[in-house]
Amino acid sequence: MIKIEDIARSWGDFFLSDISLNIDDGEYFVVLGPTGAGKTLFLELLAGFYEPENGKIYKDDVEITQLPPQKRGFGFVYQDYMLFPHLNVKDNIAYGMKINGKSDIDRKVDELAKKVRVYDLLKRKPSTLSGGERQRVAIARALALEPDVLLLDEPFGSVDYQTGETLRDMMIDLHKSLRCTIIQVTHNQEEAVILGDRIAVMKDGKIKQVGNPEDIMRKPRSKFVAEFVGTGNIFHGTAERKKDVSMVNLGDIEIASSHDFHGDVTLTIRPEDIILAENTFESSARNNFKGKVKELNDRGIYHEVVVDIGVPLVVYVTRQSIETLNLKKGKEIWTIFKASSVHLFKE
Amino acid sequence: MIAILYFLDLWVPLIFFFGFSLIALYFFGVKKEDITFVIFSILGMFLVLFIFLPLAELMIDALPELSRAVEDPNTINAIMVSMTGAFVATLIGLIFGVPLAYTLSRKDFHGKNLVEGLIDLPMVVPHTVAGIALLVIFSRKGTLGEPLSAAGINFVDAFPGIVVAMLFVSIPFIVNQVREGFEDVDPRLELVAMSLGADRKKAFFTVSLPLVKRNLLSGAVMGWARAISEFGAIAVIAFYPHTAPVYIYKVFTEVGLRAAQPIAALLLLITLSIFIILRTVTKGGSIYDKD
Repeated sequence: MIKIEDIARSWGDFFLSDISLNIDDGEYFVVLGPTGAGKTLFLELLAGFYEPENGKIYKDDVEITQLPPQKRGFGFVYQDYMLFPHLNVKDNIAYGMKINGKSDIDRKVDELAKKVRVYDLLKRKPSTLSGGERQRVAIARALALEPDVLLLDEPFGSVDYQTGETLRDMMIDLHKSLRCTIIQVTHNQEEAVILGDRIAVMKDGKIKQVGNPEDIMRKPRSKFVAEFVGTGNIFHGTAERKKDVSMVNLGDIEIASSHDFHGDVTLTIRPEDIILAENTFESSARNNFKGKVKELNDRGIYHEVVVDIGVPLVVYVTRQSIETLNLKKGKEIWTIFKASSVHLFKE
Repeated sequence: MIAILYFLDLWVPLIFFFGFSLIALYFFGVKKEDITFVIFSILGMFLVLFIFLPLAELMIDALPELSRAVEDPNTINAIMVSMTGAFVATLIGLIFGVPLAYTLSRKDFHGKNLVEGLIDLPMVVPHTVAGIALLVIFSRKGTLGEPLSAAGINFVDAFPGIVVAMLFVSIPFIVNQVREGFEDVDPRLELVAMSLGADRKKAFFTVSLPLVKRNLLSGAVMGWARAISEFGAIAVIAFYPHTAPVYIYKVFTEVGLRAAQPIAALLLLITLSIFIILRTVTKGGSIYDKD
């Protein structure tokens, strides 16, 4: 287990501070945040490339805060690969084993190369490889010493979407078969949700929220997290407890939420949790509002509909629904969503 | 004015020949938008010829008498002194210069600007001034010269004096070349090497140093070439044993131009061949594939 206690470090006027995390053995842990959040620096601190000015890092209850990187045994993969340009693929993968005087290097390199599918490239120099191939080699190189912990810095950030997807699937398979702890940083929420057992959202050098993907996506605890993971429909109001629900007054309308809150709150509803219908129908959904379609936006694989129900409510629907409901600007439509889909937090 | 007088003479037709052939070459397949480059090329050509013509004339004039220079043991001795002196100076420059270049490329510290300025200084200090400064400190009564002469190493009119003078002037070329190389090596390559079990020293020797091979070579070539060409500083601290430039100067002042010319031509021929060979080796084909 990796235990991070209150680590902090400054680089000029950028601060990484108050970071405390527990990461379990074998966990796929994703640090999610926008560019400039300090994700890479955090990873470099974990690797021992830099020493924190405050706080402690433990691995299996042994303090490693001051341990140099060569003694930590953490694998590290940079977004831009950082393959050794003067060595061919084989020697890149073998580098760590040679430095550590391991035996049977050739066989292990072959095995790894097959695993990450770069076996045909062993004689090639890094400069002749594509981005995806380079990243595979970088991953193989990091795995060569069988590290318990693998640190990945935006590993799919420099390749095209398709290649990124393939690499992502490979990482999932590798994680299953190797059972090592993986800590990965990314700015891509889709990637974070697909890969992460847990996600930590980072902003301005601070961890804003830690939780499983479901928590992060549906139960953000701050406006920043809500906006960053695209929760959408963020409104401010006053909550009042009534029987089993909190009623949130947004001015013109009152929305029911199953979360227990009182006073000033921020409210979020994920656009895909809202149903559009011609007529309201009996269901467990506690929120039924009639409104006018204000906007229709084609988002490629789905459509975004903005319905004015007193507040502008964003709803995601399929192309099929647009046709069935005959949606167009100005049409009156019912919006229906459960009280449990209405998430509340104080901010 | 002197330059203009120099160009009149039989060189005028030669310049015109080169000039017109270049112009003709350009106009054969040249597009309108390249006209600027045609004009620039003609202007630039004057500088190129300014280097080429004197050296070419020296060679052509001295060629029939070259054998006389080769047969003179003093000439050969002087050239050997120059070669070995430059070699030793370059070697010392590399041994101390590479760590310096690496540190400058990786670390920021107070007074770094001062250090960088000092390294460049030998390029602007007049050579005689450098020679006198070296003479002061390395003479038998000098701060460094006294303890070293007690240890049996003398600098005045001795081979070590030639080496320190050569080292002094070649340092900026060696250090700056190598430093440029290290600056192109991403420090994260070393970090990755360390995450794979290498300590800093191993990361340096297995990653950074092999990646600057080309800069090491070109730095050494330039440092060596600079050392060979030094005259002023060497003449002040160690007139004996003669290096080739000092010997040529001596023959020129004591005997005359006709006698100095073949020796100069021989030195030019030898240094030029070595320079060309080393330049081709360091430039031809990259030693490592850059990303």
